[in-house]
Amino acid sequence: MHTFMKKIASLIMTLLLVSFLAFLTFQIIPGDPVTKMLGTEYTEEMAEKLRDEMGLNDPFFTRYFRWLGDFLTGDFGTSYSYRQPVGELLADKLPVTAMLSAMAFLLVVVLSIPLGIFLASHDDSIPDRILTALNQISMSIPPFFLGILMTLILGQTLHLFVPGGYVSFREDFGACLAYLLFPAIAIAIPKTAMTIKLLKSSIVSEFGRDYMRTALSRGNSRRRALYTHVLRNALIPVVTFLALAIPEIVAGSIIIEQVFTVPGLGKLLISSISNRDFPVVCAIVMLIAVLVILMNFLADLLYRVIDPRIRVDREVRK
Amino acid sequence: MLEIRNLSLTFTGNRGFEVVDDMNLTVSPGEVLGIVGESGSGKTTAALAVAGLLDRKKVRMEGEILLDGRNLLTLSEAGYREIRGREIAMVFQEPISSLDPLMPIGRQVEEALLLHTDLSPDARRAAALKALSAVELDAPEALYGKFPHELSGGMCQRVMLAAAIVTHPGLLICDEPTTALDVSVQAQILRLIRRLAQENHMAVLFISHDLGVIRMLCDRVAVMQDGRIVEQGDTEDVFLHPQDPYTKTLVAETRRRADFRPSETETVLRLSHVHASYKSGRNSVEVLHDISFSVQRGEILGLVGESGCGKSTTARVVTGILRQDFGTVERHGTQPQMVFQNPLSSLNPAKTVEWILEEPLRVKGVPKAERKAAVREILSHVGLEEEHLSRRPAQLSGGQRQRVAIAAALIQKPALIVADEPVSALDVTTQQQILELILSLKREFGISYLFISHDLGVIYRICDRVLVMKEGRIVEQGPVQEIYHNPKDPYTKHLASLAGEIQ
Amino acid sequence: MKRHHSYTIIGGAISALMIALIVLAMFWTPYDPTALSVGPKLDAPSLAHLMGTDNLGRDIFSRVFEGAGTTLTIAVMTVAIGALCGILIGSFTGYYGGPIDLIFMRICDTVTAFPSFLLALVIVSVLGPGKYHVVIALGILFIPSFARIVRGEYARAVTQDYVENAKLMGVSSLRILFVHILPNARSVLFSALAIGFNNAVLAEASMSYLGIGVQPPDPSLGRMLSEAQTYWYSAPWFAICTGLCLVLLILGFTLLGEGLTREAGDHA
Repeated sequence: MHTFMKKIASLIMTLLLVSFLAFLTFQIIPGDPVTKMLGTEYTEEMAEKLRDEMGLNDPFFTRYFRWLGDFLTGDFGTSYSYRQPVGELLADKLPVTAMLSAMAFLLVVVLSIPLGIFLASHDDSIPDRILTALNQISMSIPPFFLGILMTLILGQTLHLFVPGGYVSFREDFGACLAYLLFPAIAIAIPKTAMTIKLLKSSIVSEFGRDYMRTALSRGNSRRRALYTHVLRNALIPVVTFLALAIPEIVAGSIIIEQVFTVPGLGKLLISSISNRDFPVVCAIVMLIAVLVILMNFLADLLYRVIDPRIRVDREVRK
Repeated sequence: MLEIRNLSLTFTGNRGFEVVDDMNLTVSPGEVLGIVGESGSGKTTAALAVAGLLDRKKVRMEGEILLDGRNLLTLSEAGYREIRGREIAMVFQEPISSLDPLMPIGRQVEEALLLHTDLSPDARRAAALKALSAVELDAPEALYGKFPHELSGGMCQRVMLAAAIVTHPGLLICDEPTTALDVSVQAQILRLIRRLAQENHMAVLFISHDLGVIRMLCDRVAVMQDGRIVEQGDTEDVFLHPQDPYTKTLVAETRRRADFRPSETETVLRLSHVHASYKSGRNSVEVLHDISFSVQRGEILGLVGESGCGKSTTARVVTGILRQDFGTVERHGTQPQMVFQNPLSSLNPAKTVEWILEEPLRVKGVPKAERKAAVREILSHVGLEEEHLSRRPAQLSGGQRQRVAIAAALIQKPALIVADEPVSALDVTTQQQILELILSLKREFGISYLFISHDLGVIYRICDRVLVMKEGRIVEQGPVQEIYHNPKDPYTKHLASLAGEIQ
Repeated sequence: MKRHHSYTIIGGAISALMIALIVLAMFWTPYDPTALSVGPKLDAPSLAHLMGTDNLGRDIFSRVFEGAGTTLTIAVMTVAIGALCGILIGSFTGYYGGPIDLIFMRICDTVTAFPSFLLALVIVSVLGPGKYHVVIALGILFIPSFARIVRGEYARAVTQDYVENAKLMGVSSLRILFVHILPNARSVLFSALAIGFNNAVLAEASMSYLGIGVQPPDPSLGRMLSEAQTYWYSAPWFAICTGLCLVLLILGFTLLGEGLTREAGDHA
């Protein structure tokens, strides 16, 4: 449990560091919000009064901790362009992006693990070669171009769905999921390709290890040895990869939402960046940062559960 | 029990070649048969063929492998699976990596029972615990749930043996099972195999490159060279009256030793009361305690001890890579150079032999023409050809690589070369050639060596004097003859008796 | 005789062709890429206009390769910044270790855990959009991944006896770092360069597609794709040709990187 407490401590440290950087980036570097709020005609006294009211003249760390405290209590500030609390803006968009990302992640897992095992156990066969080549190509297609092709071919030509016809999950949950399936596929395909490749090469290299020979010498069939010995060992790098893929999937959905005109966080983030609406950008980035850090933390814990060697000591890495 | 008749194995790849040629062998229950030979002699391939672990698509097998009268070569893959783990068990060279790192020890030991019997989980567990205590492991209950990385190499090899005997197989195949272990652990494992064979009335096929190990363990021995058995018979017979020329050289090499040449009185290295430690993080651990010795010009000083006793640390202090905490190190003449155990690591893999040999001179600012000349001269001394110059280390054989490593040290004209296990990774013939080279360079250039080895046999063959190290201290030192035949310290006696048993 | 992996050959051929066309487009294109109405609006591909024309009657072929030129320039600059800084930082931290190494790797771990695309968005949101801001944003973000790879190779090299041997020869530290060890990192660096290049192309195209990357009048494949999306019914070739050019650019380098990695693996 000692190492667990250490991990928690380092998790909190990282979160604080990231929040500090975010504060610097969005509160300090962009400059004085007062002059923006007042427009072109104002007097220096007015500005100074407003600064005092907003607490901008307080010492640096006072400002930081106040900002952090607000953030932790769910007060993300007010959007410049929507004149609306950022929390309210997000409450509407967050579930959409979350659903989209979750669907994409599930697709990756469900597709890549069986396919990876299949390719590894049929190494160098014809289906293996074809799938490997396809894999190579799908890794080279930018997800947003894949999304465009999908709206064009599956949507406008084959009429499997109506591009731009997103239905809010509040109105019709099923229809919403059905629509989100297509952007989810667009996000999932390149990640699936990478996972398949990683799992396959991991299994193939584990096949070559000494313990595999031992397993065969005890009378295991290759198939049984694959499932009882090799797979667990081979999944270790894949689990890490998948955990770290989650934030990438979220980032991917930000782009794909634009292609499929899904009103999620992505649309909000992009328009806020164009409008330099810093409170919104900051809140979204912080949300994703927390997600990334938590996923890292989970991956680390999971790793310890799977691999007994790490439970003992991970600092041997050097 | 096991009978091999006219077995030939041919790789059917694009350039098909024969690995095993017309092999004939028998092993009876309770008997240990050794197969000795160099790497590439076909001994491991033959063993894998008996266990049916060769890929039938890649290897053509002719002849017969009879186990209790049944020809195994006619079995289907599924039929073979029935036999593997139940009637034939195997133990391999690398004990730690041969176990599944993610599965508890106990479950691996009982896996063969799960595959081949209908025993209940409780009965399997009981059998596994029994097997673990049969291989002389303490507290099998506690071991059952442990993982391989929590055990030492010797313990892992015992676990492998337990897993092998749990089904009471008639035949046990051991492929170099002690090569990766320390000398004292090696002897224990050999005794254990001996005992298991007798108690379980089990035939053992024991493969090794080390004639000493074979002599300690085996009833009979077959000597393999280039895929053929050149001689087989009672171990003692083969040892005392070798018939085949190859066997003669093998036997001679294990006995041979250099003549003792008294060295000159000029000292090239003197360590006085040296203490040294390693720092890891905030704590530092003292590894060398009060080490004092000297090396004379033209002398080969042996340093023997088990892994972890401080041998390599001594080497690092001698060369100055590690600073001593207390005491003095006097080096006379030029900077001592090193020859390491693994030339693949000590030679820069990205560079050619020529670049590697030139580099020390280039650093000293020697002009190009002189460098080229010096490199060509050194080649003839270490037995390399000009054609090797353009190759990279990976394109050379193990012996050639070690020659390059020696040449790279030699070209700097050092007074002292520290050789850290320079022949441990080589097979017997190459080992002998490299030892010859070390001796001839000593005679030719008057070079001194600090020769580090865990193998008292090798030390005995070339060293003038020897230091015995244990736990960071020198426990005994003196002329090699005396240490070998009249050890005083209990630890040295232990080492000498092990070496005697193995020799 | 060194035989190349088929991926290396195919990837090399695609990359060479694309680069040749892009370099050619820097000096000569069939039509002025910015000239309006060089042909009918949204005209299908023909001999006169290999990829047809866009909504303003501009020649798509000329525009695609000009846009690809921008993408390529950005990618090369980005990777150069990332690789050079990464090699410098990674070699010193990996070789010397110590607390600085620990702190640095901690920072790298944290940065690489974030999707680089997102971080680029953050930087661009502060700096504002534009070609050079994209280069700066992506370049900085690529440093940690290169530094980490290089550091790994150096940390491994330190334990190798050839480095100890070099010290015994009296080789200076700088020479050990860059003459002895660096060539051993060659193969991982090559594949890292190819991967980095791809990530750069992808990130730039995505940002421009979203309208916060390269700004007009600089041409860009990402922005062309977002325009083309509007005209799918009337001019499918617009989106397909633009996208295909992007895919080929990435595919060539992916295959090249993959092939080189495998060749390096075969040699070891």
